[in-house]
Amino acid sequence: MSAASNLSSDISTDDVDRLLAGCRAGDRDAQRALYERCLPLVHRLAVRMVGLQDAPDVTQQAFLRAFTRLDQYDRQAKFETWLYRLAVNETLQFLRKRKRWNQPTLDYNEYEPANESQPLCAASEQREVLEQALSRLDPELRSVFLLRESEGLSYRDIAEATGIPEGTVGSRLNRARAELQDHLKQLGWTGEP
Amino acid sequence: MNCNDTKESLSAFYDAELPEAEAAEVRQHLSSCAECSRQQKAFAGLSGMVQSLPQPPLPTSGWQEMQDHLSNADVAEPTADSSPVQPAERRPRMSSRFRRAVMVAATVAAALLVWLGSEYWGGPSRHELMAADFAHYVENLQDNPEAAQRELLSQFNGREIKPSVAARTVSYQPAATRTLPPDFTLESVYALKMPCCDCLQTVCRRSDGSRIAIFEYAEEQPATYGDAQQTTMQCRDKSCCLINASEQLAVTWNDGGRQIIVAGVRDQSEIETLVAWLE
Repeated sequence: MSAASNLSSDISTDDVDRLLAGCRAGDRDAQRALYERCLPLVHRLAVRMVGLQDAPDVTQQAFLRAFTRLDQYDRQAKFETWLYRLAVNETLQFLRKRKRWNQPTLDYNEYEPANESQPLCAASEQREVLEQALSRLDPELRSVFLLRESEGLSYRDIAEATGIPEGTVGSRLNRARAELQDHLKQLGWTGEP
Repeated sequence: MNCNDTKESLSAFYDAELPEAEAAEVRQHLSSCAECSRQQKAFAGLSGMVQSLPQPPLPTSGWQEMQDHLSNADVAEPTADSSPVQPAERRPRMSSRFRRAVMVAATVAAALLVWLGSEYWGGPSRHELMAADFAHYVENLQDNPEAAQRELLSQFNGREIKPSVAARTVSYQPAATRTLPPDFTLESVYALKMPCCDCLQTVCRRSDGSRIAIFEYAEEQPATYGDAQQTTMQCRDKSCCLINASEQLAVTWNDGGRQIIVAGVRDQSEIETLVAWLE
């Protein structure tokens, strides 16, 4: 089940409305409830966009933007879609800065749970090569791909979250998927796809 | 439908985002085209790989750190963009020239903060964020310089202060309390709480209405602008680092235990004037 559908089952529209009303009134309990419920979504996207080391800071920044600009949320989109938009903007801005300051790219593979003395199992190897391939994708393409494949957003929501026309989401995904397959091949991945 | 048409619609078909009539055409093509069918299976393979990624562990700092950030934001709330400004209190709009000057200052300050962040926080993540915040400030500045300045002040617990107060907050004689060079008048002084140290921002106006913005950091720092094009010049035995921006110069040097950044400088002659003035 996608993350987005997970969220939908966890937070009803009424719940979101109640929490948002509390947040706007400065209710820390409401802010905390909204934060903790949405944290997995934003943090997962941040990890897959910028890497595990920098994801917490980017995640916090996205939430800070959200809480300080709640008055700008106009309910035209679902709240989580609006939050994804803030998160995508933060990650892209972060990656642009990292490129500008010549920082190293990603730091995947830091939550390897396996015993390091053991050889990589097929699943770990697959994960590693996928993350490397993802890191080679243009960040904007990567965000579209992850919003679809990792977060399970509809094309309409992806368009809302990334600011691109809904009609171009499919072509961006075509490109992302094709480039990702090429990167996987270049990395020597011989499994599916 | 041919292969090219199908490939253009393949993601939308795969993601069930295609209208049924078009989806039926794609389906029909796939049933007779091995190449397009293979491509669709590859999409499914990618989906499977992504779904198999483990959930990353959640950060441990979490809510407590968020709450601290929010507390700071609450303090700054009265100066936020959305706060109403009564017409009688509204300040005159900044000129486009000054807007450019402050933008340069912000860019230079961001570059310096990147260095400062790496030195004082020991890692790239926070200073990247700091730079990102400044970039946001610069972006906003293009459309709404007053709001951007307010945001800068709120971000660094900044406040406008009297020049006499400026002298009491730092260990050097700040620009704000010095006799200004000919052609300049003092406009405003701000105290900023940077993560590394205190910073004074002094805004001066030339007789033609244009401005310069002077940032004085409480500690000396090596000059760096990241990957911005920069040159170095010696001026009154000070090593000054310059960058060109928006038809103006930004310059930084160390003097008297502090680092000075001036944005909106016109030429090297003016740099010499400023270096001599701030000695």
